[in-house]
Amino acid sequence: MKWFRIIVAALFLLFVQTTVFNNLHVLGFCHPFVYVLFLICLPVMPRWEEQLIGLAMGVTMDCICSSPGIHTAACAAVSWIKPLMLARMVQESERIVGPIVPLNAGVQPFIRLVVLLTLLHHLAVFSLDAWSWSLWYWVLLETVISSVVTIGGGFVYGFLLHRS
Amino acid sequence: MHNLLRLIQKYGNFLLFLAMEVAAFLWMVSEQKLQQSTFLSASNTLTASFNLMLTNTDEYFHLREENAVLAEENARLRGQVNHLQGMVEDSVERDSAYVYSHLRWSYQPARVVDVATNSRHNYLVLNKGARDNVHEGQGVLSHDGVVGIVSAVNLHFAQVIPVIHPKMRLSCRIRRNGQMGFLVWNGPSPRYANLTDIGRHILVEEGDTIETNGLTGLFPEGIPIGVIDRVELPDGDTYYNLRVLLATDFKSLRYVQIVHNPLAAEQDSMRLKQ
Repeated sequence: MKWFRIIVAALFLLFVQTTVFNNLHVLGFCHPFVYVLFLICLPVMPRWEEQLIGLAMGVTMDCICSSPGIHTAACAAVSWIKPLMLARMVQESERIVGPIVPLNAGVQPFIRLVVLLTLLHHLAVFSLDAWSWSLWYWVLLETVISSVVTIGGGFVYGFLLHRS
Repeated sequence: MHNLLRLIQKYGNFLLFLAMEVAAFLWMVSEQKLQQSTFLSASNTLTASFNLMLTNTDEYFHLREENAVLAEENARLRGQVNHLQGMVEDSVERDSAYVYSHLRWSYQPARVVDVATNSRHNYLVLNKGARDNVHEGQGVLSHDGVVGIVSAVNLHFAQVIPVIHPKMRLSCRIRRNGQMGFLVWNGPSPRYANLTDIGRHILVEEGDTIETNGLTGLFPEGIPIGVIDRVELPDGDTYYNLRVLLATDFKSLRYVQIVHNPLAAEQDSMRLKQ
């Protein structure tokens, strides 16, 4: 059942990402990647499992977006850092049952986790995509604007998971 | 051996993370080389097939719009046919080379099955490939104007580098005065590009049409590229800063025409000999 829920969540976010957010174009700077919420909200599990799921998600996104390695690198970073951050933010984090939502992890840790990991992921994706220091202002602008939308989506997604 | 196992046990997650980052980096670098070469990757083919399915569904919801566009294009083409028929009839008295130069181009319709317009590395994938006699270096047009150049083909699909790509530098001219320049794109908007190399001594006005100049052999001359939307002449600068509103709306692009010019290779070979 646990794996069924994980697969459904991954497919749902990939579908939303490819059909809605990949086609969103606001001022040329807003490219939210809401699929990262899947990695952020993944239930607590052995770290290597979480990392391999991150790898699979990144490779899938790279194939869809024709952006070889970019999402893979960003997802690898998120799935490695997330358990470390969770352990620092929540006492006995390994005892959390079910997905990381406000009810399970606490409202403040959930918000912090979504904000920090989204910023990290978006910064990694846009930096690797730009591949040039001279575009730093563009990278920062894209990161901030896109992260705001993704974080907003994160709260909605957390609420949906909480309800389900 | 025991120490190695302990090391892996202790830092296994970090080593896995490092291995994943290295693999991602290698993938990134190798694919960038592939992009420079002219082959589509297997992932692109898979994605194109997936996008073909999505596009088919999407198209169903746009049939009314498409019909209107096709009807409009039919009318325009009919007008062109009439015009060309008139030219052919008149050609008895005229230089046959003039008529041939206008009739040598042929167009192959294709459908856009994948398009990326939101990044710096924009591209299009068309549902025509080597099997349909499409090859790299061919021009691509929409009913509004220039789209880009075929950069890679496999059996069933072709990848197009559009004019909204940083590596694209398209030779063009201002229709009103024939002044040559280059169309370049530095982002971020897919609706605008820049016209460079137009000196300050030339009179340029907003609303001037930019069109192909026919020098490359990729496009016939006179195909619209866009209109000058903003004219800036910084103090002390030799060249204008010209922003061009592109004729082609890449966000709503569904059908294109691949340009065939049987004389392109011949023209190219002469350029190399100089």
